[in-house]
Amino acid sequence: MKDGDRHMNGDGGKLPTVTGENGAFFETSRRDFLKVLGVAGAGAAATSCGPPDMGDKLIPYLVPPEDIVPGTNVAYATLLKNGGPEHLGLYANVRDGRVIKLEGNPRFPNRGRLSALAQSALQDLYDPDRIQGPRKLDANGFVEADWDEAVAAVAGVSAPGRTVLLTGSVTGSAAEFYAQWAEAIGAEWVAWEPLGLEALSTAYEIAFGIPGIPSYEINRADRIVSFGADFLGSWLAPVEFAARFADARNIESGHHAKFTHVGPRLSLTGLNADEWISVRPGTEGIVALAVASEVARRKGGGAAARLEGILSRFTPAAVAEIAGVEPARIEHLAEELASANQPVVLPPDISGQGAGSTEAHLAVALLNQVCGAIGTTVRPGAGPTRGASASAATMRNLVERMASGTIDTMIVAGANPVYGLPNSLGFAEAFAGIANRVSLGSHLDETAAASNWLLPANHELESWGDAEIRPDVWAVCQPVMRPIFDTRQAEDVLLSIATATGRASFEVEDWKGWLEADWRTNYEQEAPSQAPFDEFWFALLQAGAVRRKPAQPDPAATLSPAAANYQFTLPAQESGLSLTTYATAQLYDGRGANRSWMQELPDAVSKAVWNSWVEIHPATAEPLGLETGDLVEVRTSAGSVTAPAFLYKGIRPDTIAIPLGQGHTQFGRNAQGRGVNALDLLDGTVDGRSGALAFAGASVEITAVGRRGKLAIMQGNDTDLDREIGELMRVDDALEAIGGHRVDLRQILENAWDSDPKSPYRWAMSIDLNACTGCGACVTACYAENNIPAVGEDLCAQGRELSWMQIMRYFEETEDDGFQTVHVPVLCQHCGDAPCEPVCPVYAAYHTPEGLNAQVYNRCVGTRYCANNCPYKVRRFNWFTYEHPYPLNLQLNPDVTVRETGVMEKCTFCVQRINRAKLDAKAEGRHVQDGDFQTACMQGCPTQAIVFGNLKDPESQVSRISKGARAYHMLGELNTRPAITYLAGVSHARLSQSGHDEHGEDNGAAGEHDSAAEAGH
Amino acid sequence: MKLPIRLIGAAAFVAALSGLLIALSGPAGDGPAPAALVAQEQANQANPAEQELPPGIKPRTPTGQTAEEAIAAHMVASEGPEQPIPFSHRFHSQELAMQCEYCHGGTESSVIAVIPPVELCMGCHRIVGAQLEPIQRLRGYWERGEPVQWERIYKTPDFVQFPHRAHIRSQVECEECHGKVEDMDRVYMFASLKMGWCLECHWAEGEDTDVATDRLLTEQFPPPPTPEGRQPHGLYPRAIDQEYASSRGPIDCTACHY
Repeated sequence: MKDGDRHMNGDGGKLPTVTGENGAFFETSRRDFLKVLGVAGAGAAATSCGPPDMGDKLIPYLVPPEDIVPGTNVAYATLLKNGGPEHLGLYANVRDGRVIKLEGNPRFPNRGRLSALAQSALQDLYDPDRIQGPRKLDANGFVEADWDEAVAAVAGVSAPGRTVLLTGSVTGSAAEFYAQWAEAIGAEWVAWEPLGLEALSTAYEIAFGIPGIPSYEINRADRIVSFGADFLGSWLAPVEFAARFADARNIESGHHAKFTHVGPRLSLTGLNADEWISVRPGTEGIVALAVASEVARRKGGGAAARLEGILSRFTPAAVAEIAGVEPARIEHLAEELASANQPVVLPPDISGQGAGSTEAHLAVALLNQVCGAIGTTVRPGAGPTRGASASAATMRNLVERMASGTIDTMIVAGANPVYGLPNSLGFAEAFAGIANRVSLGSHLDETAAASNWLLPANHELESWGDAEIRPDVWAVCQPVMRPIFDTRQAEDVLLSIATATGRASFEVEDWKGWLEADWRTNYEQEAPSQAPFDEFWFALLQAGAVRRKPAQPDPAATLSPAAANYQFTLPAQESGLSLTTYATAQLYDGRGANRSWMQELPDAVSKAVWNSWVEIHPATAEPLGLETGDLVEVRTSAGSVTAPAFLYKGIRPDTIAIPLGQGHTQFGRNAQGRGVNALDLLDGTVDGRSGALAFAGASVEITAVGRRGKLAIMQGNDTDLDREIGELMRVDDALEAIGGHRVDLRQILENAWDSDPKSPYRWAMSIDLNACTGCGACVTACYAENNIPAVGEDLCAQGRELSWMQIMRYFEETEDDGFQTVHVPVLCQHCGDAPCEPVCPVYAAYHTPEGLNAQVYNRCVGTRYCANNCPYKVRRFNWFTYEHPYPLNLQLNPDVTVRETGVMEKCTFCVQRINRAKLDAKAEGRHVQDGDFQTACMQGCPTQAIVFGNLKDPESQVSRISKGARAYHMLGELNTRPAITYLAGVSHARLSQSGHDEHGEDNGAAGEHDSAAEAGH
Repeated sequence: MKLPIRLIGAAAFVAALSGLLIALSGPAGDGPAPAALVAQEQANQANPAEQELPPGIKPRTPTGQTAEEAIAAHMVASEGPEQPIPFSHRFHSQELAMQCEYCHGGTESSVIAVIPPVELCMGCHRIVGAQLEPIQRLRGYWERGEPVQWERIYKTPDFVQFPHRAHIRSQVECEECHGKVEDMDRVYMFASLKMGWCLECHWAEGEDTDVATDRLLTEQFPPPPTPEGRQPHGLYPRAIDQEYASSRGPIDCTACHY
């Protein structure tokens, strides 16, 4: 049993004598010593609050699960509903009853990939700071309670008309259940989602009469414009959109949609844009109208005529000054949109959500209409289904009722409003004033900490449930392991409470029964002639999702008269600094804050970890004498926060930005007391039509505190100094060069000292920088697969992070004084001529016959010369032995050694997966074929930017891609012969340097131009 | 050292295979039993000691030990740790002629050696041996729902990834590493499990049977040719490169250490 907490050194010699069985003294080997220790210490008490240390015991099952061989991975299909902004279908790899890795389910719109935040759901499940059983609050704090006692107590105080159930937004059976439960009890059900999409939904309801979220078929577009939505990072469905985005810009298929980002700051998504039109926060709507007005003028026709009244007021000239943008840029954008065949325009997200957010969304909807996108690339009502969600205005109303004494009991399940609502709305105070505060959350977050009864629910991965993904796609979730702690399914707890009140009776015994009965009813109605329900249900649990007929056919979307005559308002000219807050891909609304993997995943824009920061343009920072890392105090009318500055040229000089998600006062060891909660700066302004909270647009003042803060930034240099580490090509050059050939792979394949000529494998990888968005899903997948510990803020600041893969973010200047960004995943290149191998004195770093640069942990003595010699600096040293406190150690992959102090580690090309695939293939009497397995990073990447395979197989995907026209080797001129071929990113912008000339260089042949390369272009 | 057993194993396998072929060559449907099977049954009834075993089953030689003797032998055995239930492999494997895989099933497809679940023991011991005290203790475990915590004998360090299934599929006999378990009253550590001991087998010159990783298949699908005249850079493991394909099992470090 490979226990991650225990580290066994090699046989370092004999141990002191111990008494043997027969009373004689004899010298023993380490093994015998531990054997004896095991016998004697079998009953030893555990030091941590987890299972006792089992030592050298063999513990079998009592009754084994059928058909599951111990020591093998079994995949269960399930769904993550609260893993982030989108519903993600996934396979959970379960080993001996513990889930150790999450991978995507290809049946879902996320196409078998997951985001970084979703990969880290394992850390949420195995969080040592979870609530481990029912608790009640007494004079000394929380004490253990009994389930029956807790349920009875809560039932006793759930008086009809004076009880509120507050949940997150849900769809499917849970929504029906909560509604029925509330009715049966006489309670009020409020569903609240912190970063809800009420404004978008309301706008589409006004515009087309179809509420709900539209679908954005970005993959079909030939021109993409976004008014701020971080659709590749944290908005709506980032994994799905990333895949679609990569499809639209798949240069080898001959097209590459240009992407323009309009907004006050460049988010992760904005950094992937070819063009940035910078506008003041809150003016996205009027700029959209100005663009629409120009497009309508160029295109003419019915749409132009219908919207004449609106659009004539919002000309580029009229909005230019208020928005802070030149009219010519608006006109140019309109020109391109008008001439595009299939444009798609995405709306603002919370970073552009000010007081007039419904208007802004409506304006973008009109722009889509005028461009002809509605019904083609934007289909109202066909997008991801979102359950009803109370707006901030509704929540304010609730707070007033809470404060007025009409509510005795509030049961909170799946929501953290004490943290997630701004202080200015007063939820925390009102909540504290309620007599009975019951939390069904699984974590001791701010809301749970303020409650007096804790009835912890199972984690999502331990739960039954379902969800409507889209109107025609439904998914189920099933538990992938037994509950780790003494928790129960949230709906079962509610059922027990309802039954205990005596006012309700349900036909089913438990939630699982409810779920199956609900599905059975629907199934028998919709598919009466199909297979029996039990067969269908079993198949559904294995598949994860099913396509059902939508309730109504896709309605044709026509613009309503209300929209055509909408009275848009021109906002007043603002001056001074504005604030915009935004969600990061790692922390989202704050739910990722206690996950060390997410705290340690560098932010895509700032590359900072474990902290908050304030993004300030250098021109704004200079007069204040601010450098990156200096503390700055930010004040609005609602409050103030102090955080380190981050100087960023991707934000307007009149705007500052602070990410959401930090500043927790509870929630766990990684989240508490860290960073600032940007919500403290919001004054609670809401949008009039939808009630959505204004996250952006507040006036701010900033002052330099005069001290340096601590901001660990994991990016050394903002440019690659033309060293061709991250390459970008002009789109025209790339289109011309398709079919050409830039890198000669013979320098790897025909190197006799690289791989054994008799071996059929030479493992290699290609990474397409055109597809890489910088999201970091690969990095987190690698952490999960390879037992990489998170080291914490201080060690990160010292450069001692352990991430085997890092995403380097390089800026390249463009001719119009702007910049383009290329994200480069850097990992061990598994060089054919590796500088790290000859310098290891103990042969721990060596070259395998299959071309891998291997690291043998038990040989390593910690000289660190290999890391010294590595030009890519991808080797990581374990300066300490890092803890994996229970139950995080349950997540550790048993197939990968857990390293301890003094040992060097680095990417192994997932050699454990290679070996497993070779064993599987050998069992079938064949070689490993392309597609038999994937490395963790390849499997995690939403855009399939990473391709891994056998370079000796000419038909493998990696061979074909590595021969492409955009291919290059990083630092190839050093003649290290790396096995990773990068494909240059492609940009529509005019890059300042000439980039690579089309001939390219065969970097491995010491400067000789290869005739094959020249002939191929 | 290991070679004779390998050949015996191979011979036994071939014999078993031909036995299987003979058995399969009979007619599929109803009707009078084919002559070959009838002859086999008659032979079995005639002399139990010389009966022909089904393929894959190894012959055992029962010594007439009783269950009580087996328990006593376990208690006084000199080698190996005492187990919580005095399980005697000698009794179960020799006297009862149970095969390794009956209890340790799943080992051929898993990286770990599968220790039998308590349910498997209870399959017989619900009834068998009910008068014996250790069996009653075993049933106590079952009724309490508590798995038996066996003392572990064979354990490789955490930095070694040892896949059982690779060895089972390469037809390495259980005895080669675990010793003659069928003669053991208590299981003791037969092999040191030191790396040098593993390499004795992995390094040995041998036939290119399908034991060697990829060698046989490589001959069918040879990789592209290597040009001559290249000089080595640095301290490349030339010796290992040359012997990689001819070794019995992988001797590449990352085959076991990763």
